[in-house]
Order: sequence, then C-alpha cells, then structure tokens
Amino acid sequence: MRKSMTPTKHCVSKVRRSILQDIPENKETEVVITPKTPRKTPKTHVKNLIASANKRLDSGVMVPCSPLEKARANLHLHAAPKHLPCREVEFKSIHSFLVRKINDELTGSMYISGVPGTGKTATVKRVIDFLNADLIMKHSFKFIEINGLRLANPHQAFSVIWKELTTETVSSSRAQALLNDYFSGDEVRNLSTILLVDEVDHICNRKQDVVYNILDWSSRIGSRVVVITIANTMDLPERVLRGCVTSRMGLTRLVFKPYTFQQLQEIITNRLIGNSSFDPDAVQFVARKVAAISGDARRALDICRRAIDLIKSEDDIQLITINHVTQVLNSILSGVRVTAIRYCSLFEKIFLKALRDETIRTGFDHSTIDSIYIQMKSICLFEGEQLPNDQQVIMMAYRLRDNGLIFLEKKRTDVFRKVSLNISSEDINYALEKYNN
Amino acid sequence: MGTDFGICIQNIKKKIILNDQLYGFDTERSELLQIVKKTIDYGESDSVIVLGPRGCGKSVLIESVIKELLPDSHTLVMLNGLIHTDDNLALKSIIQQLQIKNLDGAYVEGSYADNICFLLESFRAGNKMASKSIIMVLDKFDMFCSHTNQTLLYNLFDAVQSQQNPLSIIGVSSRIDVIELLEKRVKSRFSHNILMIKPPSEPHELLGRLKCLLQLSKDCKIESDVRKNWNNNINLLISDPQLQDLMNDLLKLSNNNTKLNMLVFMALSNLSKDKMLMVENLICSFNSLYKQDLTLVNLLGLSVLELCLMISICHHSEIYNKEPFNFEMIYARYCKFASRNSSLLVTKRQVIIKAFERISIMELIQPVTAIENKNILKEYRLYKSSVNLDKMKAASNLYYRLPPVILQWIDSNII
Repeated sequence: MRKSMTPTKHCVSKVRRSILQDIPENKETEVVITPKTPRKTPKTHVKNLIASANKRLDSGVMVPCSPLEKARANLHLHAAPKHLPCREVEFKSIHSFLVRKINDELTGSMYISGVPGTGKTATVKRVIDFLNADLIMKHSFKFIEINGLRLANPHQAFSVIWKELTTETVSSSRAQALLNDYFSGDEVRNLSTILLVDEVDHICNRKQDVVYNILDWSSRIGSRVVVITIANTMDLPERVLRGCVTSRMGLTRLVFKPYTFQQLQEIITNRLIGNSSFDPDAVQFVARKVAAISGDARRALDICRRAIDLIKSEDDIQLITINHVTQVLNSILSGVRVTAIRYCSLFEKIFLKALRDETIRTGFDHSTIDSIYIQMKSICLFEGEQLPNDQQVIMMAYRLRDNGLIFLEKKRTDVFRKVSLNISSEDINYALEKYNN
Repeated sequence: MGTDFGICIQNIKKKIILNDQLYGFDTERSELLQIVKKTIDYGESDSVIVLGPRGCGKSVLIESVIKELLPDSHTLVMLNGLIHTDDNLALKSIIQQLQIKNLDGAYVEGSYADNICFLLESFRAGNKMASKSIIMVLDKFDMFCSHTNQTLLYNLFDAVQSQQNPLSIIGVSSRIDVIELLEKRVKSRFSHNILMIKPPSEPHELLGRLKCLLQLSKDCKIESDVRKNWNNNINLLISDPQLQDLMNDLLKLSNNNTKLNMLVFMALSNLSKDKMLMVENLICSFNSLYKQDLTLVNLLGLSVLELCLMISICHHSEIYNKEPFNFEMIYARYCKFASRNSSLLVTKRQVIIKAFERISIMELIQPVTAIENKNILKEYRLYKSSVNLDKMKAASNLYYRLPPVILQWIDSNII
C-alpha cells in the first residue's frame, strides 16, 4: 500500500528519489464509489399536511324536495332543534348552575350520567350555545371540550386542553405543568373556563392522575374553572375513582334517565312538524318498542329513517304505516343467531346438533372434534346421510367459527381440538325445529 | 370432435379467478346502492353493515355497487381488519387514502395522537353542502371490534352522527353476531342498518349459479358458432339429473361459493382442448377434492413395519378405550406379536423407534399436550391416535401385498 511519500528533511537517497519521481503524487484521484441505493419512498409527517376536505365536483348537494325525503333529512340525528324536547328540566338545571358559577366567579364541578342516547352531550352543548347567544354572558367565559375516546392516551388530554386554550402545541407533560400553573389561582382571571370532559371513564387510568389533576383545578379558589364530566354509569365516582378524586368531583350530580315512550313520541313528532308522511300510530309503536328496550333516542330516529328507506321510489306510497315499521323492527330485533344457524349447510347443522348432544352428555362445556365426529356418525346413521370424512368436518368447524357460532381452541389444529358453543342449545333447538317444519 | 374449446375454457377460468360477477342479490344491491347514493346526493351520513357467511358474495356485492358510482362523486377509503390490525395502522391508511393527491406517493408518518387529531380535523373541516362524500368500506369488521377501546369505530360512527363531512360507512363481516361485539356507546351510534346476504340453500340456486358461470356471453371474443356449440352443451349438462345429485351433495357439505368455483376450475383444468365438459369430469373432481380421505392415502403409503405399529396402536386404543399411549407400550405389543408369529418381523429397537417417529411426524398420531414436554424422554411421551380400527381395516384391505399374517392379526380377537 502506497502511503504518501513526502520527502522529509532527512536524507533521502538519490536512488530512492529517482524512483519516487516516476511515481505521480498522490493527487485527488477519482475513486470509483459503489452506486448508492435510491432513496426510499418519501415520508411526510402528518403535521405537515393540511387537514381539509375535498370539495364536491358537481353542482352541489341535492336538496330534499319530496315530503319523504324531507322527513328523512329531518330525522337525522344532527338535525335536532335548538331546544331539545323533554330535556327542559335538565337544561334549566345545567344553565342555572353555569350562570351561578360564572356570575359569582366561583369554581365548581358537575357529574352527568346516563345511558347512551339520552341527550347528555347535546344538552350541554345547547346550554353553551344559549350562553353564547346571550350578549351579557358571551364575554365572560371560555368553553373547552375534550372527549376521552378521541385521545390516544389519557395524558394527551393536557395537550389538547392547552391547545384549545392557547393554540400552542406542546407535549403532554409540559402541557400538564403549564395548565397547573395557569389554573393555580395565583393570577386573577377575568374569564371563567368551562371544561367539558366527555366519556370521562376513558380518562380514568390506573393511576387516575389525569382525572385528579383536572378536578383539582376546580378546587383551587381563583382558577374560575367549572368542570362538567359526562359518563354512562351513575356510580362511577364511588366505584371506580379513588377517594381523593371523588371528593373533588363534588356532589353535584345530574342523572339523565332513559326516555319514556311519551318522550320519544314527542321527540319524533317534533322532528316531523309540518310533515305528514308518518302515521301517528306508527310513531307511537316505534316509541313504545324502543322505550321498552333501551330508551335510546338515536335508535328511535334510526328506525324511522330505515322505515322510509324501505319504500322504493317507484311505489306511490307516501305514508309510513305500522307495517313498514314492524318490518324494520323485525329485521333488527329478530335473533341473528337463529338466522345464522339456518344459513348453515346440512352437515354443519348436524355438527351443531352433535356438539349440543355431547355437551349435554358429558356435562362439560367443551368437546373435541373427534368425539363430535363419533356423535355425528350416529346422527347421520339415523338420518340416512353419508358422513363426510374428518378433514371435511374440520373445515366445517372453521366455517362455524367464522360465523361466530362456536369457539375453537387456539393451540391445536388437528382433530383433538377443543370446541365449545357460542350459542345456547335452546337457539339450536328452535332454529332446527322450525326448519324441519 | 375437433372444435377447439380451449378459448372457451380459458375465458371461464379467467371469470372464476377474477370473481367479480354478482349473481342474484338484486334487492340487496339496490338497497345498498340507495343508501350510498343518499349520502352522495343529499350529504346525509349513514352507516350499514353487510352480514353473511363466508363466501356468499358480500365483497363482490360491494364492489359492484361501488363500480356503479361515478368516480368523481366520492372519495373511497378501503380498510381491512386483517391488514389494519391496530388503530394506528388503520388511521395512517385512512389519511393516506384521503390525501392521496397531496401526498403524491409519499408515506404518512406521525404518532397515534397526531393521526387522530388530523383525522378529526379533516372531518370537521367538511360540511354537508360543499364537501365530497367519503365512502369507507371496513372489511372483516369483527376484527376492528377487538381494537383497544374501539376508538376508531367510536370516532367514525360519531362522525357519521355529527354535522360534518358526509361519510358513509359500509362494514362487512362474516360473524352474524358482530353487533354484540360493539361497545354500548358505539352500538348506540351505529344506525343498526343490517343487510343480510343469504347463501344458496336449494340445489336449483346452485345450478343457476353454475349455469351463469359456465355460459359464455356475447362480449367474449370467440367465434359465434363455437360459442353457441359450447352454450348448447352447457344447457344439456345443466339438465342432467346426475349433476343435480352432485349439486345436492355439494350443498349438503357446504354452501360456500368458493367450493363450487374450485370444483369447476379443477374440472376445466383437467379437460383437454377439444373435449366438452361432461358430468363425469365434475364428479371426478368432486371426489378428488371433497370426498377423498387423505388419511387413507397416507396409510397406504406406509411401510409394513409402520403399518404394524399403527395396527398395534389401534388395538391399544380399542382395548383401553382411547387412553393415551407411549412408545414403550406399542413396542411391547408389537414385539409380542412379532416374536409369536414370524421371525422376519423381529427388528432392532432403533428401527422401530425410527418408524414410530415417522408416524408421529406424519401426524397420524398426535401428542396429548399441544406443546411437547422436552423433559420427558421421547419413548415415554404420550400420544393419541386419530385413526380408528375401521379405517385401519379398510387400509389393510387395500394395501398392496400385505403379508397375510398381519391381515389375520388385525381381525384377531382383541383381549
């Protein structure tokens, strides 16, 4: 290997120098570099993208003209009127609470609970809109909303709240520090902050530090924070939260009861004012049925919309009667499992019968495929069918598992795999008996 | 006969592979089309789930509905529960598909929190009047239900219910009870629009499907007389009673459309170019696909020593009522038989160990525990047999030149 030979000041022999003279100096030689691999597919960070919606390319959205189409548009959940019917009491309660806290420059917290679809978030939003419309109140508060299921993890709540307050994007730990400072009550605030925490049970992690910090702000005098938390269970503070958190949540509780059938009827007729395409009996029927099951307003409105969908455009019917509504309800409420059993092939049904019989015979809730195979053999002998071989039976077991009718053990894949039912034997009896009839 | 049916066969095989023709389901198709059109035309968001057992035509139905829409009227986002196994992966894919023009081939990166924020902002940025509708198809919907907290489903269904970008969500699942997998909040936001796809239950439906599959329409590039010849032969084939029995048998086994497709494909592949498709081809491929017992085929390929070991295993299972066994028990039994009957059958212990190992690798016997305990010596590990004595008898009858001593041994009185 030739190193650079600069002649040193020491004696370099003449012979050496003559040899060296022939060798060119170590110039910047062009080294042939191995070709570089081409760049990978470029990556764009999400933060560099602009969140926008694509524009419609045609003339514009069609406006519903026929009464049926108008009814369908009005029955959509977000086409709700300004004041939700049947929630006036709750509206007044939340409104008076907020007005009192804002006017007296106090802090506070409120816990709202109720099953899904009872109008909790909608009522709170309406109260805030009402306060915004009131010119006196409009400039004395700031509204921030977070939702526990829209966060990647509970700690992200802090960065979201800080972003809504000041439009700065910071990390969650920094945001926590900044918010604790902001709401410490040392500075005098001139605006009340109303903080709505939706689906608060998803912010409660094991340590419960996020929900503790949020509720702690409302216990510091001078922070002027009013926290409204919404969840589904009535006893969330007592059952899930620790004592320190529960005491900070306070005793202001509001329970949104499920709608009764009169209330559901009123809600639906309210949406259909001026529209005569629904038979009032049909509306009452839907209201009674839904109130008996869950009391969920979303369900009632969706069932009515579905009933409109059933009418095809060629028919001349312009009135939704009880028959349409009954059709929709039957399709929703009928046992899906029974339908699933009826959609199976003959040998799959025999498999289910064999599994049921094995379960009854041994008293265990699981069996193996080979014992089911033996049982299937005797059933087939009885019915006069020729049983397929055991590989086909294993394929049938996979199909039944994909339909959600049975569970298969995960560790094994051979004929000794454990099988258990996902449906009750009464369902099997009902489905297979009716089929025979 | 001389006429070249090769092109016809190729056309039909291509049809089977592409699998994009919808047969039947007109009402369901028009219902789904109506729901999607309402979102595109009126800007009203909606959600629907298409349910049906595997292989009954759900994905084909959705593809045909989407093909009918104008490509400029909507943005299509396709998600699959098997590919997007996590909410983060699904979010990245949604953002990539929504912003496909702006990204120009680049990948999206960002944390989970960033992705959720971006998606929610994009939804909020749209409004009913002026934004293009988004149609989201969620394949294997039941797998999305097992993500943590069902956050993605909650946010998507919440976006459907609020006054934002018009969004239409189509879920596809084979689990008929998928609604019960949803959390109560998500279930409340779902519009309970369920479309049930019914698989074929009568042989004549399968026959109709077969006819649709095998007949060649005018837009295939084949000469008209060849095509007419083929179609006439297919009509004769369909009315054959043997074929109807075959369809009956297939329906009893499974009402999966892919099984029918496989049957036809195999029959066509075994045809030579100038032969017409006959019932015998279909029956032959049915037998080889669905009726053949592969265990029997494996048993016929064993050596005599291995066969004897299998027989002693079956005897043991019969006597001890399916209790598990290990190598030593079988070795003792075999040695007793061999020493009594013929000196040719006595072999070294190592050879018999090797034969036993071969049987266990072929999975004719299965270990009792799913994971083998390495602490036990391999001669003492417990196994169970998946082959019973009747199958052994059938195999030994078919075995090529089995020594008669062994035949007698199988039927001997088992004590």
